[in-house]
Amino acid sequence: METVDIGKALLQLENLSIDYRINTGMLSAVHNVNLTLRHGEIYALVGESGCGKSTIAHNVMRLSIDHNEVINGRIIFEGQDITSIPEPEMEKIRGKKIGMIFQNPLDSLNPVYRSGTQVTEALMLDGMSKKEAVLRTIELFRDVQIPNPEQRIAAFPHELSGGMRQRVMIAMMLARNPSLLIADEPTTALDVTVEAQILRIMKRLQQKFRTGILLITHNFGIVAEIADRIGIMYAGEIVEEGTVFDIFKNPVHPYSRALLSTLPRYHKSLRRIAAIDGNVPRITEKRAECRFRNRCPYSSEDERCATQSPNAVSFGSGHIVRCHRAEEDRV
Amino acid sequence: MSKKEKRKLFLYSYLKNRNLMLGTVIVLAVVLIALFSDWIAPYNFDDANLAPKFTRPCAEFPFGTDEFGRDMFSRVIYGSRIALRVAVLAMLIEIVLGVSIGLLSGYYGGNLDRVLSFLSDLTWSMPPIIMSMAVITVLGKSIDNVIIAIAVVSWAQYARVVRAKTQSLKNMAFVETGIAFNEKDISIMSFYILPNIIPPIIVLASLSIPSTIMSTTALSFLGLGAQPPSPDWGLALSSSMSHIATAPWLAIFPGIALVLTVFGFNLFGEGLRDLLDPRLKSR
Amino acid sequence: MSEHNAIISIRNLNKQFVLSKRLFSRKKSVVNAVHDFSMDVYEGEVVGLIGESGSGKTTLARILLGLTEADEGSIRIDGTELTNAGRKQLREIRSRCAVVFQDPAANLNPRQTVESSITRPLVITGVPRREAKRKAAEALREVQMDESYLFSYPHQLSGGQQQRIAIARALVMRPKIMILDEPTSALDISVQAQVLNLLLDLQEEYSLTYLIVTHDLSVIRYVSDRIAVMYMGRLVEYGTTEDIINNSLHPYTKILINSVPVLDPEHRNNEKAMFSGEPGETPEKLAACRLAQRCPYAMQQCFEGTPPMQEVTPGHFAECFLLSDRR
Repeated sequence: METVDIGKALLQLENLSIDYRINTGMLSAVHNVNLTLRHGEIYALVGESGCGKSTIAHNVMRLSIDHNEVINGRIIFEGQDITSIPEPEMEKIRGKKIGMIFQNPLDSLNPVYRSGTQVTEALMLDGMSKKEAVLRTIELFRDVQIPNPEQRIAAFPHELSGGMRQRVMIAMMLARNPSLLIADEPTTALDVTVEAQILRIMKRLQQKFRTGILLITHNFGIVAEIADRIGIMYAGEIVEEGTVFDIFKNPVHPYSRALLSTLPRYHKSLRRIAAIDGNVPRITEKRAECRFRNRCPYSSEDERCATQSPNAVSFGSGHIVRCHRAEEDRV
Repeated sequence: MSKKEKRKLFLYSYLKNRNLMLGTVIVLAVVLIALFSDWIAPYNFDDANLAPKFTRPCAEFPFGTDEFGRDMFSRVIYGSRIALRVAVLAMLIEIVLGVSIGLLSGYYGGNLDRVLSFLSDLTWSMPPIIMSMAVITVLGKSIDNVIIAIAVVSWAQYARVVRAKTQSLKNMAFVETGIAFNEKDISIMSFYILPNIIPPIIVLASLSIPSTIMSTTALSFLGLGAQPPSPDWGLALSSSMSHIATAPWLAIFPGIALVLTVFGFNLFGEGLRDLLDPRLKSR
Repeated sequence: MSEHNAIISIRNLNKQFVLSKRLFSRKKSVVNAVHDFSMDVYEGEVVGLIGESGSGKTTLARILLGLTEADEGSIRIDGTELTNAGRKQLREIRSRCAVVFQDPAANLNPRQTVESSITRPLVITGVPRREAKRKAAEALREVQMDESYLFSYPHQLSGGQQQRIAIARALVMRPKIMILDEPTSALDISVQAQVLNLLLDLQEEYSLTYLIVTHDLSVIRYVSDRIAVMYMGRLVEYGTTEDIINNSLHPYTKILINSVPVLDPEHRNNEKAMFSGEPGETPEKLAACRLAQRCPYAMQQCFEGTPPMQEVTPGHFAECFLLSDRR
């Protein structure tokens, strides 16, 4: 096992809460999230659809200004609170210091420009000459293992396969050498054999350039493959956080445990996989209670689950759990 | 979301949309006036010599009288009936024609689609007023023929929308599942596809009413539609032409009625589109 | 392959799609979606058909459902020939063969109530309405949903519930075969487990035959008795789940299995064999191994002819020139 040299804090979320005004009241999408991502670290936010993981990613990037959105708490990037800085300042950070890749690369590449041009343009924004930029683009394409980069820079996005497009996206992000890369379900639309290639590229980037990666995914397989730290989200909250080994070897929160046991890994003759009954709730009313309460097998044993929000309990060196039951077994 | 909540949300966004509210009020007023013309109008539309001809608007004849001494107020009221009747009947014929052609064309594809699409593109590409005039010349001048003429010209817009929607729906899993358990083609079209294209049809219909009313008026104005002594607004406008300097009220009141009605239906149609479209997208 | 009690028997199936390459060019490009495909599915077993995008697995499923017509070859479903079937035979086959598609939201008619959706297949075959309604309520219980959902509309249900309704609708005709096209890949992981368990329970209870079409190896190894691996229209390997997962023979299967992330961070740095290219890169000639371009073990032979399908151990088939020496 190689050890990744993990440095100081790159991105910090402090008590981040995001609510949306909807017709019938407020929808709590993210609630009191605390998270620290260090230089050269891959942090995976894992959860089911609607748990708020993408909302966090989009808000760190401040992709759209939604007037129905209410943000509380702080997003600190490289020591600077970026929640309240004006848009022109943010433009200097977005793309330059924070890059983002999406699930569907066809939507995020401009269909009327050649794939190489889009990367070259990004480089020229930083004052590179055209000739230099083209050479650098070819080099970047080679970095993300695009075969025949000299020819591929002239291809239009629709002429490339899904995996190639995702590589172009990564190359485009790399062009500005960001210190943080946000990857929102980067391989969900790809075939497994291609997914493996993309994951390997991301891992190499992290090691070579010490890029911090915030990985948003629902796929535990890719998390086990490349993440250093994991935050498991449920209904807008991080219910458990720890290193990849903490979570896979010693999950504490009932939700993390249940989720890991629902992954089909066995042959059916061996046993049925455990399932979690019910669905993820939409939280429109903030109450002092545990948000996993209605699906938790233990909630009936403990009245605090219905009357108090669970506190974050530390299990030593960054392994944090929000569960009333965990408080008793604190290490 | 429960059914009740959804209905509440729908009602809420309906009430919040001021244009739609105003449109609804005008449309409702026109419809009520048309339905209850007999009660509202003080006289019959062809009662002549009620007063001296060209009487100015006064307390007894609020819109004045025309060259035969007929009460303009009553005539404008009765005119709404004609406008609405034409608009509604033409719309119904267009919908029946356009929806069935669009469904067949979109569902079966192939050569049938090619022929039907060509037909609809052809009607679409002709200037509507010239086409209607041609149809009326063949069928003869009357308000009923105006209905047919307008329907013949305008069915294509429904056919196009329905065809496109059908093409996208026929590859949906629930339609294919239906085929896979042996639904007949006709049930697929009427039971699976049609109910899912009703909202855009409603929007299209309410948006096409104002243009239908305008076309009817234009044809009557040209003398191809309603014939005297009909109280049709277009006819009223055209016969007021020769007296425009001496009796401008003969043009003003039917004109206002026409503009208000068209305006109301436009607001209503656009509001309805805004209301129904986001729901379509989210599906 | 032995013919006895095969409930689905596919022989030399071919399906081409013709795409005209450019707007004003007569030159047409042809995609061999399914190419010389033969396979048997036995009664009461769960067969997983796995393949990546462009493998032709979905086309194959659509041909079996009579939604797409094959160009050549024969398919016998429960003794009835599907290719060139008339309306009557097609109806017969379809009454024995039900389907559940991937997208839970698209699976149900948004304008039909749950009850109407489930009773519809019965009503059109002439079952009296009251009888159909009784069976719908029963089917709903079988998929572990409350009867009160009968009068809901699809948009009021969650993805998992929608998928249960789709299963209930498939079940209500008492089919012998169910074709499941990515039945859980649009669902959240916690819900996916519920639906997979339900499918397995139903299969055991009614001794159904399942053909599950998917790209998800972790799902398929959990539910299947046998696995068929498809690559660019061809069946490249077929055997028991054990054969395929632990003793795979074909290079494509090996790398496919290798590519699936292991759910254990301790094994994360195992050096993996990987493909260079992507699916869809076709060889120049039709008569060549379809994988030749991407295969790390490709030999001269691979570019010159199609490898033969061989039964390497009883019931374990694969087509690869590398295996010729081993026999």
